[in-house]
Amino acid sequence: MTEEPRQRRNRDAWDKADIVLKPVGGLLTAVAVAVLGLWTSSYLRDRERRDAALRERMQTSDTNARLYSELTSRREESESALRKDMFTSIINSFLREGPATAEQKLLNLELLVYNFHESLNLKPLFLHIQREVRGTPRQSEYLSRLHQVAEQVIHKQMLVIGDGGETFDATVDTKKLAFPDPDAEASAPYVARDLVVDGIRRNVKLEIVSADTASEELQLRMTIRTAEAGRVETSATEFWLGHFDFPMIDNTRLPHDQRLAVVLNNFDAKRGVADVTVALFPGKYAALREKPYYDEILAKLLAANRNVPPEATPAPTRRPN
Amino acid sequence: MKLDCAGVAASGTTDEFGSYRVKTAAAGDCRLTLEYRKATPSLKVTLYEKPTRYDLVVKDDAGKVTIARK
Repeated sequence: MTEEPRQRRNRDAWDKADIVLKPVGGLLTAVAVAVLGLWTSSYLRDRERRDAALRERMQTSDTNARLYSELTSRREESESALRKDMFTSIINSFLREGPATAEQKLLNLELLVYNFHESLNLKPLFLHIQREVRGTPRQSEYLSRLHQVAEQVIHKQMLVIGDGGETFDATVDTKKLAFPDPDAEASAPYVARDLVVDGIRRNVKLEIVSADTASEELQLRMTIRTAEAGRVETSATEFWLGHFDFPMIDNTRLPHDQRLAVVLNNFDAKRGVADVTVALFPGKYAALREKPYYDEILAKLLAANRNVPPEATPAPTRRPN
Repeated sequence: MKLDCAGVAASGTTDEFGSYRVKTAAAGDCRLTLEYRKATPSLKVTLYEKPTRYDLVVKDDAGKVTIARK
């Protein structure tokens, strides 16, 4: 009888808390497990939904891209076929022996030039027509038309080239074979300028070797110096420049996929002066007929992957065209 | 802009982008003069039968204004 109440008296606050909290703790654990389970399953469901939406979006985008590329390639194919037919029929009119008049030939040349000036070097055809129309009754009209077509094409090409490249102009004394100084009576034997394209600085030196006043052509020597990796690369080239040299087609190929072209703007045989423009530009503005060099493509890709400028990668050693 | 070709004069003005066009019937050696901030720098130019393009750069070196072909 006296033992039991003593035991009851001995239970303190901690014992009571233990009795109360044990089932509450169990309950809380069960609630926590349930909440965690719910949260996890909701998170997984959300993720699955997001993944499914992303997969669907990617699939739609893939389908759209495939459709677009198919449409583009089909359009390219039909355009190429049309251009091929057009080209064949026009070029055949020149090659076929027949009674084509100078007017018809000039018209065909105009068609060819306006449609294919970025793909073909049509200088031989220009010279051929020029020879043919000389001596005809309408010689001056035809020659002026011929020069007008060439000028328009050169203007169009220079507009594109000037956008991505750098140019400079120079006046040439065709009698002294020198460059007159605009502020003095003296003239210099050459002009040299620094041109920078895609972060690559090149020094371009232009000299006049000779001049043909009858055909209105200049023989030029061009020296290009490029400082890279602690040394100076020098290339030199010599060529004749006339009214039918188109910069996108007729240019000098340089390392790092760049081109250098010279354009004859004006030639005054009587006064012995001519006006030229030198243009340095990236290869992407050059004619479509040119194949890219694979080592240059690889160097560009490597530079892009390493996130370094193209001039940091060594250029393949190659002489200009 | 003033163009003087052996006594035959022609003039024009530049637009807000600096473009200009001067017409003359003369050809050969001429002098192109620019009026710019009270200065009148000039340059010898050659005119042909066909239109000629002169892209010019104006330089101001410590108050001395000059023009040169680009």
